[in-house]
Amino acid sequence: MRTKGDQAAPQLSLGWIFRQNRGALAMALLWAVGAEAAGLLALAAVCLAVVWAIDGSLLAQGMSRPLWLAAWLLAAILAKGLGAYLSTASAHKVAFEFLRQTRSRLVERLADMPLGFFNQRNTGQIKKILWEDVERLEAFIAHNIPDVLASAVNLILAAGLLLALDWRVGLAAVGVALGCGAVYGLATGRHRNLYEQWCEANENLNAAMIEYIQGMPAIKAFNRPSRFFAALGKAIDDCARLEKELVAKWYWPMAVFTVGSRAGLAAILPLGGWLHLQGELTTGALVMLLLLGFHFGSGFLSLLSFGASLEQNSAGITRINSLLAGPVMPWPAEGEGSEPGTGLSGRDLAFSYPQGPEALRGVDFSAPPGRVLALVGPSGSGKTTLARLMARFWDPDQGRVLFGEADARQICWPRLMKQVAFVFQDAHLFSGTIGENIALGRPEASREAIEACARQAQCHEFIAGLPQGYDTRIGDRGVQLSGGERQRLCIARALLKDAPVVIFDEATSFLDPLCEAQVQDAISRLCQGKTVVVIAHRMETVVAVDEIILMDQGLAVARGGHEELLAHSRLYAELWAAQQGAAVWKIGQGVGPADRGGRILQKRERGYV
Amino acid sequence: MFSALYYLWRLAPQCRRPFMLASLFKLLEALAATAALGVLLLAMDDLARAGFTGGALAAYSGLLAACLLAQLLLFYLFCRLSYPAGVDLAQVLRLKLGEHLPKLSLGFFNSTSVGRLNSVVSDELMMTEHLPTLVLPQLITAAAVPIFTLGLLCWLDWRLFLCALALLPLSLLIFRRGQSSLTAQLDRRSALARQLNQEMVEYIQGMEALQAYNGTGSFLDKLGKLFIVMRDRNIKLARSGPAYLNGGNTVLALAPAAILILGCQLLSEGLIPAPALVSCLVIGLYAYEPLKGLGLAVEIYKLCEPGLTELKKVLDTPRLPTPPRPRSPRSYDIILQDVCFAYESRRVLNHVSFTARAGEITALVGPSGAGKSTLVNLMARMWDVQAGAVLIGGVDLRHMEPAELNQAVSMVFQDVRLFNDTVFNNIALGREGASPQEVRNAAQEAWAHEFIMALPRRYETVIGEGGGRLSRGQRQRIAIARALLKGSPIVLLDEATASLDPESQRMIQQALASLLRGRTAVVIAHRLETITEADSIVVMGQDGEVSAVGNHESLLQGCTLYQELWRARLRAGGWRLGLGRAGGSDAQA
Repeated sequence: MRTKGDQAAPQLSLGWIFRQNRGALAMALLWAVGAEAAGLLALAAVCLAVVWAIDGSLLAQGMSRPLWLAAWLLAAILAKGLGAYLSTASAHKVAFEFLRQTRSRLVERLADMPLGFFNQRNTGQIKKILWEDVERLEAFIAHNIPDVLASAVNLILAAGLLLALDWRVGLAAVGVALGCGAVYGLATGRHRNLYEQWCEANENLNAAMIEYIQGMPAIKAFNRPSRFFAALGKAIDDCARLEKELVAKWYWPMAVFTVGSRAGLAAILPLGGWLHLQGELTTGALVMLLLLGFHFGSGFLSLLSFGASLEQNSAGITRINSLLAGPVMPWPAEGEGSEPGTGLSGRDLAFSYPQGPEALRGVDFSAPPGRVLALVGPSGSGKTTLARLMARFWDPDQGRVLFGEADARQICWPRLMKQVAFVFQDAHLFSGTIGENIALGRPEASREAIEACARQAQCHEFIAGLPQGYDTRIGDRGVQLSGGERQRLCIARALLKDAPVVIFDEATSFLDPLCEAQVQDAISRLCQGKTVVVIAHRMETVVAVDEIILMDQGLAVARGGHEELLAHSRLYAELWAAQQGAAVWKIGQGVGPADRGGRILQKRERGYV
Repeated sequence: MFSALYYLWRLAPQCRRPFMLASLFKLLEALAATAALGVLLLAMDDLARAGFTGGALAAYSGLLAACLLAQLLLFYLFCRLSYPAGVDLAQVLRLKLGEHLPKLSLGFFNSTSVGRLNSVVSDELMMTEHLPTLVLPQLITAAAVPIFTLGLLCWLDWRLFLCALALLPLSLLIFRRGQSSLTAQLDRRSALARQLNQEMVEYIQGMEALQAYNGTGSFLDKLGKLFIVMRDRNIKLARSGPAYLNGGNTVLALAPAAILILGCQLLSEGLIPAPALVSCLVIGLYAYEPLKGLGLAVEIYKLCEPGLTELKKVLDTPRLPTPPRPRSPRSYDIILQDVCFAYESRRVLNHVSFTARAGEITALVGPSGAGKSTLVNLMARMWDVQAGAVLIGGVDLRHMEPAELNQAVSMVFQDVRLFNDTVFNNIALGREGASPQEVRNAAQEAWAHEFIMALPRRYETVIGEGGGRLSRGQRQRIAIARALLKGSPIVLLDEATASLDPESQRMIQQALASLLRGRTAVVIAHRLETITEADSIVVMGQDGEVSAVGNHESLLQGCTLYQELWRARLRAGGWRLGLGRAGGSDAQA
């Protein structure tokens, strides 16, 4: 098994790709050389036939010369087809192996990142990089690289041949091709600014379109399609305007690009013809020059367009690299570092989210073995952040989280994960069977053990009622579970893991009354005899715990038992009063404008959370 | 491919003219390219006849230059017409989509169709503009150049023409074979790709659970194996696809060899002059060259296809039928008459009838899966009922103007959609032309004013995509302020809304109290103690039927399902961590 956080991920670059696949790319190059050489040989055969036809010697030995030439031609054409095929096949092999390596490295890298990295926003971006950006490299490696190889080989061989046949004509033809290339090449680099503007407009358009689609129910509910359509229309128009401006820069370069492949002829015919009339160029040489000139230049232009596709891919490569260079948590090697002790505590913890405000400042906490610690406070006060530091989703900027005497950073990953179970609100179930999902932490667990935990978590009954019991698949192609059922499965999973420390977020998502009671029973079972930290949203559920920490704006402002806090902390008393008032609320009743508890909450609330 | 082009042709009439002109220029450009070949042939012909003089050379050089210049100019004109038209086309398609979406029923906007749509509008729809700019010219060149050059060949010698032509069906056969085998393999590959994509998404989304349960290693092994399968499948695909392509191209490249043999035979029998044979050989070398571009055309087309299919599907989704003579409701009672509804094959509502009277609170309770949410969705005409009718003020929803119905009904559910815009605009969405004072009043009534004033730019603060930087309770109150401003006489409410964010539920409750005052309210209830004062409670049974209607007291007396739900709720409400059940033994359901 691999160890976490032990390898540096090399950055992705074209050079890296080439170095990694030197052998296969050399093969692709070799085959391309073969194919292009065979192509020129075929051309030479036709050329010879033309020359012999012109001087009347084609049938000098009956059909033997034509047959011999035809055999040559046939062999050359077949060789060219075979070479081109093998060259593409090798390039594809490189490309797909490269895709595999890149994805493997990316997914392994993800496993080493702080869990806090995987928030909602990031998930979408990571998905896009793993799938689209990596996939796009295939076209680049498998198609552009062999194209470029073939073009370069063709260019070198044909130019050499042209120069060898007659250096003056060859020079002129190469000169014309270079001229066309210069026109096109100059145009490629010049409009970067406009191109970037257009990319931005395009991104805006996509965002506007997606907001329009996702917001459509709200837009319709408020009868305002015209306003939103106007905004979308503007984004569409902006994008189209910039794109038109951009494509307008390409009319001439594209025309030059297309005609440029045979522009060399314009030099070869007059110059070659004149030299022929002067007697300095044989008929055969002239014919060969003309036939060569028909396509000479296309190679050169393909080389230029390689630059453009390289640029298109560089954005994707940059994104892939930024993910490879993402934050990584250092972990001690497996089996090394400290042994975690019992109980959980934290000293002087401070933490800020990347590019975010300070979320915790100077927080101490202690959850002795077998005791229950509750975190309460207004929303945005730092309860969840603190719980996430305990499970090492992030490392604190300052201070330490201790398992017994051992710093969490000194404990190797498998040991730490054995120590803690967490049950958060949006626990994920994997597509697979119910049994597999419960046994996630202990794949070797027996069916009996799984069932025992399922019973304790109050979910055996509904599982037994499913068509295939514990072998029923969940997810897209299987049964859909209700929120309460999912929560109980996650609790069963935690029960089977049987870690000494349990951190859980008291659920706030709403279940029907029957479900809710069952989930509560399951949680009670999970917490029996464990060190427990609970993030409590409803204060009434934690009145009986051993210690409560009251959080406010990133600080631990008070701690103690419920009665103690009620007597000594004004904020606690006010929050309690507000929630008690909320608990007896009936729909259709206000609590009155003079509602003191509500007013206090309102004052405590932050702008952004 | 042609059907896709035809579909676009019909969809965007304003782009037809530029595309026709552009096609014409492209055709002329192909003709100019063939003419350049013709000049070359004439020169060689002269060489063969020993008539190659200075005068002829000057004329040919001039002609060739003219051909190349004409080609340059024609291609420029083609670009000039077709590129902006391609941009226009993408624009037209997007606008069409934008115009069509608001006319669809709300039921269309479920998560799957929205997800699919999201993925195509960005990339694939954009690719469609390449259909006319890249695919069309390739098609034209691939068709025109061989026709022109083979025509020339036919004029020179019909037997050699037939000989060259004979290669065409053979190579097309190979291309076709390749195409169909490729399609089959591509389908298998995309199934694998979908699976891999799903697994990777699951890996990212489930990272927390995987790490917590030490499952990362085995999941990575699984992914690694899939990566290998995918690589091998792809490599296999890359072996067979190009094999057919290269095979077909090679067959076409045999043309000069075939012409050489037959030509020499004819030459030996005196049936063809040597100079003509030279021309035929050179034509054989280049006639089929443009067909190679077809591969590119097909490739690009494949990239556009999913976007077009999705677009077609959306544009073909019928609009919500609007009544020919819409009627307006006289009051805001909601009456359900014998309503039945099923999602595909699953029956959700079974002959449901009850009345929610104007100005009263009607609560819906029942176990999950009893169809409470579906009922509420039908009242907003997210879907149409399959049997029975929903009436507002005596008017069937299907006979109301959709805009009027939308105006009459507000929904306050758990998911809140806020737009990437200022707080002010998000609230003002509730009413066209709302004044700043009205927006402020609504925010105050919804208990949102104070936190809005604590935002960096107050009402002018732009809240992130989907309102992501606010807490759930704050987003909920902005949505309520919006609904207050809208002032619909009917409010459909999910009671869970009030307690999604327990820390701020007091404020949401206050906001909801303002919203419900004096309106017809239909409430989906979870915590039964909140609805004990409701005017009417509808108890839904497991099979989507109404099992009882009454008030709290009468139902406690007469409805066993309600009693059961009530007892469970009391038990849940008294739960204390570390103590088990308040006031009794730790019951084990």
